[in-house]
Parts: sequence; C-alpha cells; structure tokens
Amino acid sequence: MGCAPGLVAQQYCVSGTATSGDSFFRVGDPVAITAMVTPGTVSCTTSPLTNGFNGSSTTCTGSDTINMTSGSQSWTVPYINPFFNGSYIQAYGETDLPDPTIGYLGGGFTIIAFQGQTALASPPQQPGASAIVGVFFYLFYPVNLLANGTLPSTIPTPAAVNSAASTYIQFAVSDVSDDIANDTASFSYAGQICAGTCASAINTALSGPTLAAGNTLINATFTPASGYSLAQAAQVCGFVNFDWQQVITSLPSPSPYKQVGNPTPLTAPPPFLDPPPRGYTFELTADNSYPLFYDPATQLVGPDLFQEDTYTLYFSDRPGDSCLFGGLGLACGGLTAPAGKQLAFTTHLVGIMAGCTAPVPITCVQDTGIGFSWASTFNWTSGGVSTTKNTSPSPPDPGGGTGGITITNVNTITTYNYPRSNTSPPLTLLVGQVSVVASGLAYSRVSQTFNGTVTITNISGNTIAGPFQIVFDSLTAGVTLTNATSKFGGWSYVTVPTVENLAPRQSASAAVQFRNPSNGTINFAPVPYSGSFN
Amino acid sequence: MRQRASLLVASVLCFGSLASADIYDVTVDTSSISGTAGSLDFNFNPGPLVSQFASLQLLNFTSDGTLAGACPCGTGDVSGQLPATVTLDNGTGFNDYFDGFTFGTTLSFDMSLYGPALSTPDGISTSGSTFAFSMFYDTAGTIPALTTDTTDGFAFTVDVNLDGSTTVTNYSAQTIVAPQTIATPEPNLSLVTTVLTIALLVFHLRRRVRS
Repeated sequence: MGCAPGLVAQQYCVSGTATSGDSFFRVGDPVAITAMVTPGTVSCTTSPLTNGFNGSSTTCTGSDTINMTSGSQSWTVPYINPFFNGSYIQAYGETDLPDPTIGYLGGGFTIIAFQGQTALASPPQQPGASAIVGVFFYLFYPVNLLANGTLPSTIPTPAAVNSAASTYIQFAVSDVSDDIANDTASFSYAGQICAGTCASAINTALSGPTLAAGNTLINATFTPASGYSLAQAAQVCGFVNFDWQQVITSLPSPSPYKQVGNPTPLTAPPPFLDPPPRGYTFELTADNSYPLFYDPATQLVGPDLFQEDTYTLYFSDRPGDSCLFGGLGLACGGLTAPAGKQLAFTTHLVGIMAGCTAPVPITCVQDTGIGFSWASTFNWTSGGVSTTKNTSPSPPDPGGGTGGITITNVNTITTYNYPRSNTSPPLTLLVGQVSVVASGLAYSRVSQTFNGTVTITNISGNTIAGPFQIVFDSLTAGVTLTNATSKFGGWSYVTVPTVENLAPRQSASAAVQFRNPSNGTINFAPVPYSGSFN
Repeated sequence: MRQRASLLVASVLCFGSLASADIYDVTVDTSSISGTAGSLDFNFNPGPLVSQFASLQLLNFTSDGTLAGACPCGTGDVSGQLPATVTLDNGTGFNDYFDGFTFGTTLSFDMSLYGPALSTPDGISTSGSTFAFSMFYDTAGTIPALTTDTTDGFAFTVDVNLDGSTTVTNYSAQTIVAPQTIATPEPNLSLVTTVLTIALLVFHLRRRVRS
C-alpha cells in the first residue's frame, strides 16, 4: 500500500512488554518477538467510532497473516485487524481482560490511539504465560498525547488531529477501569508505517536570518515544523540533536584571527570551519565547539539560553574584523585589507547523527543543506578585539566602525533523506582535508559557456572515501553552473566523477561549465564534501 | 646619472620577465576549408577562484586567407589588431578577440605567454588561466571548424597552471602547436652588476678625461 503524499513508508519490527501508562518502546529497541507480514488482500470499511470515541474510523480485514516467533516458539495470526496506512498492529495480553484496553501507537507529538476489546477466537499465546488472551484493537485514530505520555481525558475528534504522524512507535496500555498499576501487556508490531519524513519536519523551519543593530548582528532560528520539538525532529531525521555548522569562505589578509596553538593568521580561501579546532585566540574561554558552531557537549546535555530550548535552535553572530578596509588594523600591524574585501560565511543546520556523543567527530555531522550564506564588512571590535563567532549579545565597542552584514543566500529546503536512500557514507565536510583549485575558463562561442575544471587534492594524511562533491558556494550572481549535478544548500554542486577514494596527495577533477550572460568575472567559494547529499 | 642607473635596473627587471615567457608556434592547415567565409576566436581568461596576473601576445600572424578586420574585435583586456600583434591579459573575466576570416590554405601565428603567473608563481593563487583558439565555418562563430571538439569548438587550449607551467590540449588534427623553447639564459645578477659597474666606470672616466 502506498503512502499519502508527504509520507514515506518505513519498515518497523518491534515488540516488547508494556506496563500500563508509562512504558514506551521505540524503533530500535531490542526485539524479543519478531513478526513477519505477508501481504494479502485487504478490504476496508469506515464506520462511526464507538465506546465514547467521536468521529469515524477505518477498519480493515483481509487475508494477511503475521508469523510470529520467539525463540523456538512460533505462531501465526490468520488475519489481522486493525489496519492503518499499511501498518499492522497486534497487541495481546492484558492480564485481566476483558477490561477494555486502550493502547496507542504513534510518534512525535501525534499518537495513533486504538481501543480493543475483542478477543481472538484462536488467540496467539505468549510463550511461558498463562491467561493471555489476544485482543483485536479495531478502533484507532490519532490523538495527541499529554506531555507525560498519557492519553488526554478528552479524546479529540479525528478532524482535530494529524493522521500524518507516526514517526516512531510508542506503545502503552492503560486500564480504563481498575488496577492500573498492575496491568501489563505485550505487543508486537511489524510492517510498514507511513511516517512523516525528515524533510517534512525541517523544511521551511528556518526563520531568518535577520539583521539587527545596524546590520552588524545576524540572527536566525530553526523551529521544526508540525509542532515537533527539536528532539522529536532529530529522531525523525536519525539524529540525536541539531546544531549549526559555519564555514568561513572568505577571510582576507591581513587577518587578525588565529587558531589556538597556531601563530599563523587564518585566511580563506581555502574555507575553514568557524570556530577551528581548539577555537580562536581571542576567545576568553576554551572553545571545543569544532566541528560545530555551538559546543556539542553543551548541546547534548540540555538547553542553553542562547542556543536552544525545547522547540527552537537559535543562531546569532556578530563578527567584526578591524583589519578590513577602513578599520584600525588591530593585530595586523595597522594594516588593512584592500577595499572590497570581506568576510564571508556559510551557516548550515546540521544534525548530530544517532550514536554519536561529544566530542563529536566531524564524520558524525550530517549537513542538511538548510542554511544561509552571508558576508560582513564590519570593521570594528568587541571587547577590544576583532571577533568572529561572536555569539555574545553585547554590542560592539563604542566609537565607530563601518560596514555591516549582507545576506547572500538562504535555503530552507533540505536534500537530506532519512532513512538514507543509498549506501554512501554520511556527508562529511572536507575543509582542511581537501584543497580545491581551478583551471582558467575558456569561453566557447558554440556552447556560450565558460569551461574549465575544478580539482580536489587530498591534503590530509589519510585516505578519504568518496564520492566527492564540490559545492559552488557564493557563486557570482547571474552565473549558473550548467553542468551541475544538483543543488545543495541553495548552491549548485558537482559530483567528482569516477573517483571512489582519494589517497593522500591524490587529486581528482571535475569539468565545470558556467553560463555567464554578463561575461563578468566568475567567482565562487568551493566547499568540498565526501558522501552523498541524498 | 641617477636616471641612467634606473634605466639599467628597469632593463634587467624586464629582461627577467621575458626570460620566462612560454612561446608556441601555431600552424593550421586550413586547405580543407579554403575559401570559407568563417571566423577566428582567441580568448584568455582567469579561473573562478584567485588567479595570478598573466598576459598573452599573438605575434607574427600570417595567412593566405583574409581577415575581415571588422574591428574593434576585442572584448575585455585586449589591445591591438591582427595581423599586427594582439595582446590579451587575464585582468577581466572575459578577454576575447574575434574577427571574421576567409580561410586560405594555411594560417600561423606565435603565441607568447608571460607575466608573474608564469615567471614567479605566488603559491597562493588557486586558479590558473586558460587560452582558447577556435575556428568557425560561419562569421557568427557558431559552427566549429577543424576540430573534434564539436561541443565547445576549441581547436586547442593552453592552460597556465599554478606552478607557472603551461599545458596544451589540442583538439584539431590540422593544427600544430609547437613549443618554442627560449634558450635565453637567465640573467646572472653578478654579471649584470659587473657590466653595470664597468659601464659606470667608463662613463665616469670619459667625463674626467673631457674635463
């Protein structure tokens, strides 16, 4: 059975034992009982809800079977009912049946509730248990759980709920009449469930960026769609949390910024992550955020006032570089960069992949492509020094400064899919590991394009697994990459062909072809990745 | 006296730059399209990242064909007009010389690449520059001639690489692009200094004799 638009079929197989009201089983929990669905013919009817439920429900019957095994035990359910969006629910065994049992299955903030009271004629028996009676749950519809995970006292009508959700499985039992504390029930679930996608949770969830304080401050927020909390949206996407990842694609020389432990001023290109490993020398405290914008340790342990709360991830930055044109040249011997030079950034929403904990290796960071690119010519200081990654809400130093922030690109749509649609390794930003150079651009009057090559070279000491992607960040306005593989983060990218791995010092090239109606100078900031964007 | 010394120093500097020029002799057998009223295109452009400055001269253009001469023919940093010397540099994104041309049986020219990108690569640039030469069957420059590169129509390209070297890619069986290695020795600073000193001494002695 296909899923409704906007939903994807995900195969689940979970089971366990629930104690009334407070036990939840999620996808990925250890499976004690496995179930296999054999698709068959199913017919459905819609009828009014009963037993105090309002609205209608769809009840389906058919010839499907579920084969269940546990250890050496096995049994078959001849057909299964209910049926929801291609999923099959089998709950069996409240210890004191025939009390009506309410279970609920669902995910995110929306739960699929169902009520059962009909015993199977030939119920499956739970191995080693007695007085277990199988139950058909045949009334079901989605309902919002309370914050503590229990059903609300008043069941809303179906029209008020979102049947689209069911992103992970929770199961619990509650006895509507007596001895709640002692009830237990076992369940298993197998088959497909039509779940909201990661994309539906995070697309168009970026607000901003907006500028403030005379265009010296940039702010943005990410609040997942459909009422998901950050944690719920992260789970939908296979993450444990979200963060930002910021790349500095342009930092002219002379530069006032130095990485801790490295006396050489930082410049870009080549692009580098903001902050770099160990942070900047201007930072008053140790910065272990790399390879993320906010310290992942902080992110992982709980909300931070300026970084995230339950529903929103915040972004704020106020860079100031006194070595830009017109500045004082502090830490640059009084020198400044030529006029027209600027800092440039690309800031993306990223996920910290499930199973990863702080300190997060860069291979655990999944770039969603959602984010924005921006530039700053602000040439003043904060706290007496030039700063980038300046998340302090305090204003810049008094006394002057010129320039400000310009937003150059915003992308609110992800190309990331979860579950991942292929077997490629996770997408990994390769700044600092791969250098990127380009040939000149020969103009063809035949194709009316500027043609050349872009070459990546592994400058790390380790072999890097492909495939390799080069994002053409900050491509000159009006210029298009006509042979782009697709887009990521709102910018075109090309996949480097034929190369599967790059050994140290090994290079690989991709042809590039630009259409440039103005015939002006073509420029971009190359941002290399390994892995696949989808 | 100070002016003469400055001139001598400037000469040494210019000489150093010329010493690292890459020159190619280009000869095209156009007999198969002789009489065709077509066109020629030369362009020399930087890359999309950071390119170091480089220049190119088209010299000694010779052919039994006929240039249309419907100029100005240059766009961007281009000066001169064929068959006289044409100079292009990579100072803008599009530096192009395009002219109508009725093909004869042959055409030839020399191409000299020079400038800091070739003589003193800075090690920090991230883009090279590329020269492209194309011939066309039509005066609008849309139908490529004498090339296997039917997609883009290049007869040959020359890349100026980041290490100052050049790479020729030839798509035309009728075109010969032969490097002309300059045997000019690099100026020896001590030798130059010696010559300069002797010259100054001679000049000084002559002045003393006259006085």
